[in-house]
Amino acid sequence: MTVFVIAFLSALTMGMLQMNTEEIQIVQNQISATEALATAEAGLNDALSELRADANWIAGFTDKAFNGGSYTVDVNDLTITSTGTCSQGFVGRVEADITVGSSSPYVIRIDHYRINE
Amino acid sequence: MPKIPKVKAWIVRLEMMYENTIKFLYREHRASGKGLTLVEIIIALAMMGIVFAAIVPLFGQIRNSWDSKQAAAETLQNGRILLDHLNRTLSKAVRITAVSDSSQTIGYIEFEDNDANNLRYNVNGTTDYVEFGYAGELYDLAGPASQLQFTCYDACDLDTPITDVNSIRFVKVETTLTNPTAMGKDKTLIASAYLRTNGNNQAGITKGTPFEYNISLGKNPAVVQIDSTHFLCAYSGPGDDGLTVVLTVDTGTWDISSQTAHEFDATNAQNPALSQIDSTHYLCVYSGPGDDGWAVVLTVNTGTWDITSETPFEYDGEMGATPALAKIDDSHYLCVYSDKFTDGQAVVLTVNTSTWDITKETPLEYDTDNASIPALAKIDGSHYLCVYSDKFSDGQAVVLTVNTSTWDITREIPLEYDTTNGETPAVLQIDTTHFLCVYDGPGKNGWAVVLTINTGDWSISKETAFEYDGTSGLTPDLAQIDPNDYLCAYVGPASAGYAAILTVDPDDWTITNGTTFEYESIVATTPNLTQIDPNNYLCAYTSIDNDGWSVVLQLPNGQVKP
Repeated sequence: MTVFVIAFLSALTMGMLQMNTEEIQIVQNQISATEALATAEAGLNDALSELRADANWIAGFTDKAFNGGSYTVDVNDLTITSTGTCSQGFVGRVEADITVGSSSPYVIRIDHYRINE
Repeated sequence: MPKIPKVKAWIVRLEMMYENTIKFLYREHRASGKGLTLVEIIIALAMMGIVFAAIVPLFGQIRNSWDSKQAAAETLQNGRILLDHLNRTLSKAVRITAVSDSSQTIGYIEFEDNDANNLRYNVNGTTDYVEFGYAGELYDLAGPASQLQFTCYDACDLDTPITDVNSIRFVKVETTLTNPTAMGKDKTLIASAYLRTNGNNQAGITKGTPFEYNISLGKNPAVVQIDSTHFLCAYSGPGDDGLTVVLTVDTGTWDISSQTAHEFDATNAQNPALSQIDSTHYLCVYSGPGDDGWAVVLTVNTGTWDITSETPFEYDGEMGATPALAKIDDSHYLCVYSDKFTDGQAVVLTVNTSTWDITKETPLEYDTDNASIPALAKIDGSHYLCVYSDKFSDGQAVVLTVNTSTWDITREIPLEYDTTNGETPAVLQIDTTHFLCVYDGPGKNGWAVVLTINTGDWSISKETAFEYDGTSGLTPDLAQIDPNDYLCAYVGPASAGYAAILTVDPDDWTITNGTTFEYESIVATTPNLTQIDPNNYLCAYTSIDNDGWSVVLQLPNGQVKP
């Protein structure tokens, strides 16, 4: 009987712990995904900053370090794609279609914005 | 769980009693060599029952705890989905169209995304679920929720909540997801989103304080820019005399003031049109005395802002109605107008930049049937697009070619761009071969179309026309915001003054428009637009009692700065 009760209580405890572990993992995943998206947005903002200074800037960035992760930015015509990777390896992606003003400093307007699409 | 140790102690005690009893009975029976009696078995079963009776409530509590933890995980997952969704969709919103007050705990928000969809979040009053979707076609997203509270801010001040939907650029959402289990705790989560996307066309247009530049009469104004804050305005004043005035725009307050008006024609001056010659001289053409075609050079003193006029020149002694002007070079100007038969005439006016005398070259009757209220746009140094209304009030367009040696004019192949109706057109260049034309089209509504010029044979083709105002769209005028966006002011429903931003897609030349803005609710006819800077436009118009008014139309959220 003792063995039975102890086994039963142990199983319950394990189940509870497992549930808590899952909850923690969900929160951790959310933090990492948000971090990755924020990293991608940082890459986009960096690119917009370059374009404000030079409307013809198309160099982009490759694995530029940021906050323990990195971002890669492609500038293709008037579409900027920024892919951010956080320190946990999660990936976020933002893409913006832009219009660039005609005189310096070049004011930039985002016409279309896509997140993780 | 705090009751577990107590219950466990009881279980252990009962268990020991049970085991001692069994051991005792076992020893007794082994000694006597007899089996268990019925009473003994009943006692044993009763004790077992007591043990299980103590354990079973524990099962219930454990079950409740399990359910509550599961529900908490599910609530958190729901919250994560909701936050991600809110952040993603609101970041892509072009503008907020309606939002509940920031004090409302069960709120809603409506917005337009960058694909021009009208979307909405709210809480379903029956299921308490947060719903999302096209306005009127909502579906459950996450929940149940006991709170969905929206607080909005503008682009600069994230401390002071605002309610003006046209200024909202940042949205904070606070939501509480309820845990449905008895022991479960509710989860309150906060998300926020910055509206990254912003077409000028979708940003709300606002206006500065209107200014009455002539309290007696001010019809058919024409405006050109002198410098960043001064604008020359020519109009028909009291007695239909020709008046001109410098309007000054305060770029801090966007208030307008005027200098002393100058009468450039004391007899008659209808429908003037202006073109800049140099920083102080402007060519003005108008329907003058006898309704004939007249032209005069206006000189602006940029110190005192006084205006003087040179000797007027009668370029058509029979009639010169509703003229339009385009600059060829500093000395030559193409003028199109309606003659005494309402036919279309074009003539090059030559300005002597020493004496400011005006002469004319050989005119061309570019439409022998009828050509009312023409408008001009320059294609290149020798080609000009002329749009006008023909004898059936249909929309016509033709390229006029100017020989820059002889100043003779020839016309190319015309195009009837609207076979139903095309009156009072205005036209602006998009690129070297494309032009945006707005006009009073079918149903007297506001229409726009892109006209494409074939620079080989100067023929014209048209793209798909777009009805930007399905109620009314009279005497429109255009100003360019950027290569894709154009501000259009027009006479809307009930003769009120309206403005809309038209966006041209350079891939397929389709046109779309954002929300229209009523800048003058009483009456505003013959608006004329001039750009002050990319976000501010001076609009001169005729309002109640035919007085002359002006106002700055603003695109406050027109540019998103990264």
